[in-house]
Amino acid sequence: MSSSVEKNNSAENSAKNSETAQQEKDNGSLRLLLSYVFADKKLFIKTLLLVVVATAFDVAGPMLSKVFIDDFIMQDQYPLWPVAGIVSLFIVSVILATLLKYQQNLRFLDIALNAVLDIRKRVYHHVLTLPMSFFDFARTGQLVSRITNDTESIKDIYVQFLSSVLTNFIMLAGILIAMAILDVQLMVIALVLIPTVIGLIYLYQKFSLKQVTESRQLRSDINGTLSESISGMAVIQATNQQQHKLDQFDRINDGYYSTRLKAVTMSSLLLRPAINLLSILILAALVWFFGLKVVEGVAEIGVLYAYLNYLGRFTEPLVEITQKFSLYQQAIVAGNRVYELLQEPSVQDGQGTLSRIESGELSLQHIRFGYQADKPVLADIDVTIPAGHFFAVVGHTGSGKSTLLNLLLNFYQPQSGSVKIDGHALSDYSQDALHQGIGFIPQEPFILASTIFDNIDMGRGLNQQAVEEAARQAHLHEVIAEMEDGYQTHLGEGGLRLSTGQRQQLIIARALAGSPKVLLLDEATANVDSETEQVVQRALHQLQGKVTMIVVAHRLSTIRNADSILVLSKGVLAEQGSHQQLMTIEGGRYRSMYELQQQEQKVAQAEQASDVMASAELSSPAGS
Amino acid sequence: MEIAAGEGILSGFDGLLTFILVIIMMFVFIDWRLAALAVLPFPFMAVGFYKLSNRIHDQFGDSLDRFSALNDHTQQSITGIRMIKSMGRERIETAQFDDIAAHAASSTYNVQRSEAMFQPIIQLSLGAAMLIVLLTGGWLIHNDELTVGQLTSFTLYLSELIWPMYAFGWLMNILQRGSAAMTRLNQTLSLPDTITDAGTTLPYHHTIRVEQLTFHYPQAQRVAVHDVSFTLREHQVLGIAGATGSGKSTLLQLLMRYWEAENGMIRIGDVPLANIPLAELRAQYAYVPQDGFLFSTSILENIRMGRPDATDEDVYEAARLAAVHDDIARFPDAYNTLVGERGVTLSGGQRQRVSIARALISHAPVLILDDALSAVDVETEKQIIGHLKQRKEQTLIIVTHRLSAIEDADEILVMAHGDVMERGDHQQLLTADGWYSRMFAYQQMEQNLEAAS
Repeated sequence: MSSSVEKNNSAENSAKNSETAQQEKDNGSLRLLLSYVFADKKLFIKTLLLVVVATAFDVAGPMLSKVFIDDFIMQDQYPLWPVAGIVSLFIVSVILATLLKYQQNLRFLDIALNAVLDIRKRVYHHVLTLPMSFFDFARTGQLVSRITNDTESIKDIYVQFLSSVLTNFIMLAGILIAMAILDVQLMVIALVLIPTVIGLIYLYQKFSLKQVTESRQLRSDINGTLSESISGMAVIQATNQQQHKLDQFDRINDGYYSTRLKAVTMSSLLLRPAINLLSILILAALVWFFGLKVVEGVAEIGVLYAYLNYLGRFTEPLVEITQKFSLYQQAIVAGNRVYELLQEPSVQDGQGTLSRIESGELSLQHIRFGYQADKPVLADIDVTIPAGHFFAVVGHTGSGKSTLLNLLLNFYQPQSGSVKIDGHALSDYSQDALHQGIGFIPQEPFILASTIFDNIDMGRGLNQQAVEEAARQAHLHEVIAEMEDGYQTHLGEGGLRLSTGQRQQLIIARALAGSPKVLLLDEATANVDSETEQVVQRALHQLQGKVTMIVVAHRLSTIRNADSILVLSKGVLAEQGSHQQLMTIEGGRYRSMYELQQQEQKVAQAEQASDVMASAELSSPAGS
Repeated sequence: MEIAAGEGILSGFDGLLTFILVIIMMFVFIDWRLAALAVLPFPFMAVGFYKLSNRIHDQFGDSLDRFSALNDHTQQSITGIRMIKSMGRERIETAQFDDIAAHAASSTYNVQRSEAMFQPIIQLSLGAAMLIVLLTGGWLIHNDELTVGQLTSFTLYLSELIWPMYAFGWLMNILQRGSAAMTRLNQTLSLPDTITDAGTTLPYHHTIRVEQLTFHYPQAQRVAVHDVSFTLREHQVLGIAGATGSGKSTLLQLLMRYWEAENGMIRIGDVPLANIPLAELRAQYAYVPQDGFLFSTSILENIRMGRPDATDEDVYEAARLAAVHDDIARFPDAYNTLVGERGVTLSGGQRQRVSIARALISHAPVLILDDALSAVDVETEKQIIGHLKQRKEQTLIIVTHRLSAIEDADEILVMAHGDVMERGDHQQLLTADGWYSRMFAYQQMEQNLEAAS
């Protein structure tokens, strides 16, 4: 299914006419939404049948009343069995109508929730297959809202709109049929009401459109002002603007109130009375016509009774259908956004066949890359990293360090040049081989709300031994062993909170547990204390020679022992060599960076000193 | 929640009015016996409504929880997308999502199923009422106490009751949803409010005197500010430097009395803080935080917020002082350019400078810049500080990470761990081999490195 959709999409993109695009989007999302109605044809037909039968029982009530009035009350005779029969029929039809309607509602609910669930799953699955470039430019909050909120709004299409329109139309038909059964001529008179009411509603829509749009706009203003005032509370208080803001809010609120009032008044003073007036006119016509019939001696009073009952319910369906249209519009907007997201082209899984990385020799050959074609981030990087070597990458923010890792992780592909492992291009390897063979330690530790074991295993189905071994390599095993529940200790919300350092170690253990051939670290020591840094440093040292490591580091002390340090500057390899070699370059970048960090340490020492001083001061109350 | 308050009450009121009118008509104008019997099923309906809405309350609370779990999971997987992709965890994450989504769906199903129960309750009650009316009516007609016409109009009235009943049902449903949402909101929003506002004295000058100020947060062991003393005369400039967590922000909050220090430790114009009415005290300060918040309105209005009666010329002047006038002039609608979602997006530095302009336009005697120049480049920073010093209209407190901002301050406090570790003016501090001089050297080196790249 999704592959055909994707093909559609590429055709769509090529024809980039914004108007037809919008049209196509509307159609597309409508098709998507409707597909769920017919997805389970049996369920849908069953639901429709339920609606028809429930309506039939519903309209039966007044007909039975008519019989009761004409045959018993008017005759003033109450034969036991027929009366009991009519009464029990009445009871049965009320109960059945109620029951069936309830069932019918539940069916619509089923359709709706199945659709929402399925759309939600589809969107989520699809989002996970999108290329990294999509995430780098998307706003997380918005994306989350697409997957959760927008799909929720779609529910209204089914529960409110579809069910209401269908049931109301069938109800209208049911009433007309019942009327026809009672008296065809009278029915024709009542029929006049339909086009007139539709005309009225159309006029109302036309005139109230301004109010409705205005009130919707104001409503979003209210929400906006409210949320803004909450986030800007400090400013408001600090500038003593509470009253001012309050007034402003009142103003918008009043505006909303009055336009809303106008819309409501319009509906309650114009639409409803107009419809009521019409109904009364029709009623008068009915009664007059009925009078004629009485004179002719062919009419039964019960018919009038039933007609009055029906007329009361006649206009409701029409009004309700039109009212639901605004809901439909809102939901279709949400539907469009979801549809749009589903149209984002996903990355195709590689066709690589190599099932494992043998030794882990990395070579970057004349790589050029930029997120936008005209803004190169990396220019002609050409490095070979022998298997088991420890390479470090340092440089300023924006020097291209992280981009280099993105390329190694195959999140992006270089515009020219190639990344090779053991002489094979990344695309020659299967996905599993890459996941297995390359361990990645991101800057922000990502902890699952689960056990320590799960956090290291990460669903790879490792055995206890492998997990423990990995923890040992990250110097975390002893700490875990001392915990009451050991590897089964729960982490995350409601569970144990690890220290920043321990979290970092856990992530290292996680990466090592897959016994990767290549290990990539992205600023893993940027935000940790020096103690943690030493732990990381020790772990790296022990891995040296066993695993190919590429460490992007902010702290130069972490990578002092690297076999080679690559110094990037604006996407160009500015210096390369071991720590000792680089330090000999007079006025070199690395050396300056190193000296800067030395100075930083001196600052930190000064701060430490004050702490010692302060505690000494505390003991001697003389003070300053 | 917004729906809960507005439309629910509106329709509830509408429904109630119709209900009362119809009941009166039935009782007074047609036949009270018939009416009394006809309303018999309604108490049952009320009980049904009550039970149902209680159930909805619980179920809706549960469904909100499920929905937020869904949100959390989605949020987490999008922020952790690198990890997911690099480990090939898509399948596992998807399975978890499906599970959570299924739970959310079944929870929503429960709520909606309960909501769907309103209709049967109404329909059954109404059906029962109709039947009662028909039977009793027939009996009354039989006894010649009612006419067929009256019976017919009575039924018409009865069907008028359908709408009010639906309205009640809807109102109860929405109120319950609202209260379930409220419960959740209350869990997240419970703010302590401990500052008493009982002062009556107004300070007649603005010298700030802090004497041996020591403070620790309630329930905290460590002191946040320890033995800090200084005097800041009118129109002087005080610089405060120090690492994150050194107590700078706490000191500012104490000055503005967002936290309560022991009385008498801080005085403005010789009046202890607690003796000054809170609104008056806050009006003494124009405070500019690091992440200057701008409202979605024009730049002009954003600056004017500092003093609503300021003229346009005042606004321009403030913007000039904050060195943002030229930037604003380049925007499509200059000062009338809208900020935020419907307007332009300002850079961090521009936002900070607009916030400063907003603070400058107020006539507050004390201007506090709380790291409010962090996103402004060094040259512009110098320019702004220069303007402010020349102006001699406001006392200035500058908290900063970048020491260049306080080079010209009359006094600089260097804080660490709540203590004043070093103090003096720039020259004095440079001569000592302390935190300040080392940090200054560090920042110089950093700048050089940046300039070289």
